[in-house]
Amino acid sequence: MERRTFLKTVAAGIGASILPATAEAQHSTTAKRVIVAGAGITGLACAYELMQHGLDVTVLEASGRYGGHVFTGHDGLSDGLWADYGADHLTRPGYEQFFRYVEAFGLEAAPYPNAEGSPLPANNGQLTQIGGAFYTDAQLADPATLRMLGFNAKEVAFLARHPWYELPTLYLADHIARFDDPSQPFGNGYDDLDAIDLDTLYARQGASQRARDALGGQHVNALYGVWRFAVMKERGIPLSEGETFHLKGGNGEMPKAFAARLGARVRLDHPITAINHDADGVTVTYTAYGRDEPQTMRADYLVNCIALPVFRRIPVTPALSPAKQYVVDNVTYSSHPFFVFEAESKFWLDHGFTNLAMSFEHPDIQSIWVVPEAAGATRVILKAFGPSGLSPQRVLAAFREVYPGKRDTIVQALTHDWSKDAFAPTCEMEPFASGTLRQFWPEILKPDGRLYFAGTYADALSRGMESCVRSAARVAKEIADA
Amino acid sequence: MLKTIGLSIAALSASSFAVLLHAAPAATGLTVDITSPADRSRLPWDAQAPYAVAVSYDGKSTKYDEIPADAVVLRATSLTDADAPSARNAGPLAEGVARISQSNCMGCHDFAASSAGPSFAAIGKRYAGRSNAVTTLAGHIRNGSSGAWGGGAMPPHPDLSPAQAQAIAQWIVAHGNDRAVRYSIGKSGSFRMTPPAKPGPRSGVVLSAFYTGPLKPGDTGKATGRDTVIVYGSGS
Repeated sequence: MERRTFLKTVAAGIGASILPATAEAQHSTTAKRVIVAGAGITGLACAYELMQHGLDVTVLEASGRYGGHVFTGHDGLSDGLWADYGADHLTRPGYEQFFRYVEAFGLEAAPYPNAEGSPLPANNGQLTQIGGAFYTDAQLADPATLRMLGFNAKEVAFLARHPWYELPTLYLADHIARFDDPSQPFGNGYDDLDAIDLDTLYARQGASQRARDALGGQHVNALYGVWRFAVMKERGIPLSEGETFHLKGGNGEMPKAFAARLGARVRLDHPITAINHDADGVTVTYTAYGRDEPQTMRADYLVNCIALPVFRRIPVTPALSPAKQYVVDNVTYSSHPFFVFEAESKFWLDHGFTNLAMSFEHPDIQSIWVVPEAAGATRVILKAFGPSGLSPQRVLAAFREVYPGKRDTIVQALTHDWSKDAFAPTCEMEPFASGTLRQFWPEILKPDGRLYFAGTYADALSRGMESCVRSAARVAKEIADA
Repeated sequence: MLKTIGLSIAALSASSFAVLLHAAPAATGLTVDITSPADRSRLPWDAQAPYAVAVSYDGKSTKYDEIPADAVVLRATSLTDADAPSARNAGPLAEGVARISQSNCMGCHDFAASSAGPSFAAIGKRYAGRSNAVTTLAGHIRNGSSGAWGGGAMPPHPDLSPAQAQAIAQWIVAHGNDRAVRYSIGKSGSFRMTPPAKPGPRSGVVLSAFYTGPLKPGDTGKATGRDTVIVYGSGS
């Protein structure tokens, strides 16, 4: 596809999405019937888009709660405070489709500086622990420090003038500039990069071991890595990933807004137990809450918006094509918890720190940052990043080991263990491994007969909730146009 | 709509009442029932098929979520002769699999496909035949590891004892990549009709269901009920 055509297609898919409700009537003659599997952010957005296209849609959700991995929790917190235990933040730029919904639904996005380790705003009191010592942004731009850390002369000169997150451009600027058609990875003159990982590419380009450690390209398909930077450039997303925001009241406000508009179309506690498909449509077997006997529902199309590791437990008859089955069985996801601490005060201010935005080298806690205060609350919410399965108390103990200040005022430590969540255990898609991109792309976007697929993995740029809602809008349009 | 909800609540209350009346006085034993598929039924080879298991123990049941779904494991064993007398006595559940169902392993791993982490089959294949494989893996389970498979990190599991981690590692190395025996966790889900190497007319998949939750002191955990069914394979 030509770049211009691709852009037009993408713009059409998104532009058509937020239509006034009266547009439903204009399309109602088509009356295609669609079942959306899963009421996470993808399924809800897809159902909303299908509804806007005038299609007859039903969402079947296995759990008793919609939203999936977008989850704002209030339990255990005082003063009406809340915390996002799943999707943490939005970025600007980078969340264009998502922000269209924010506007259309009258939601409010609030600045959330340095969210989840975001480098923006720069020089905002962040501290990075390296070799046991803590460094400010300014110290990390100091040539003496950079040399001491092991960067080569070229890197020292670059990092003295650019923030660390721009380091990829030192070695890949030419690759990115010559990537003509970011709508797909192949055919841009770099197909051979599918065979190696990004770390190997950085090494070939002359990166020091220290830079390679910081860049972290091991296990990342080099073609995928370069392509990703090219798509980000195309979409105007800087290497900082943009400024960070969250929704006022929590990111759970977005699934709530979709669900409010979908009304009775969303059926909670209706797990799908089998999918049968043929040339004319799809028959889904499911159990309704409180009933033992299975029921069936027929539709013209099904959109799978369930994360693939959960979806593949559902029998599909006839079986998916081998190419599609490969995708379903081999897409890998990240899965990690957030640890939420409630503190009585901004204790770090008393210890001489202007911000609590720190990254650590402790195995039980990698970073901590502050969630902007809610109006009227004197208490404050902190979020920490640590390994799955640990108790919040253990992560808090790790924080107390490494925090460079004095006594904190944390009085509560909570988490949501996604690894124990039967229906939404996974977060974002992990990069493809070297040598595998051809098996995933473009199959990862394709339907299998009447079964369509949307989710964080089903977009040219797998990137948080934006890729969920973009893939949802794309698939809804494909079905409406079919 | 309102009427439907009203009716279903009434139906639910009536059935709960019936269970209380009949089951409450003596329901301390362990009952494990594979309610679907039917015993001696037939399914095409390679089909992925749904199953459902009902477990009750000590007056609690999976029906009302008093027993968590992850305390139920289904084992599907492909056999050339599913009519052999030994087919229905395929032995207890491996300790390692019971521990896997009870820890949070399944949040990131699957038996034969990738999710956040590699499949147990892929780990078993890589580590088979390596010296110290069990000790190495048990260490990774207990202490966490990173860099062996992808960008993601395996978190530490201080909640597992060294013996439990050892049991999991032993099972992964010895049986993780065994195509003939596959597992599913949960009171419902799916299994695959994997054919044995040379399928014949008596070939099939033996499904055995297990309860892996805690038992009261002195209980053996020996299940009563229809905890084994045989599904014959059909087609090529």
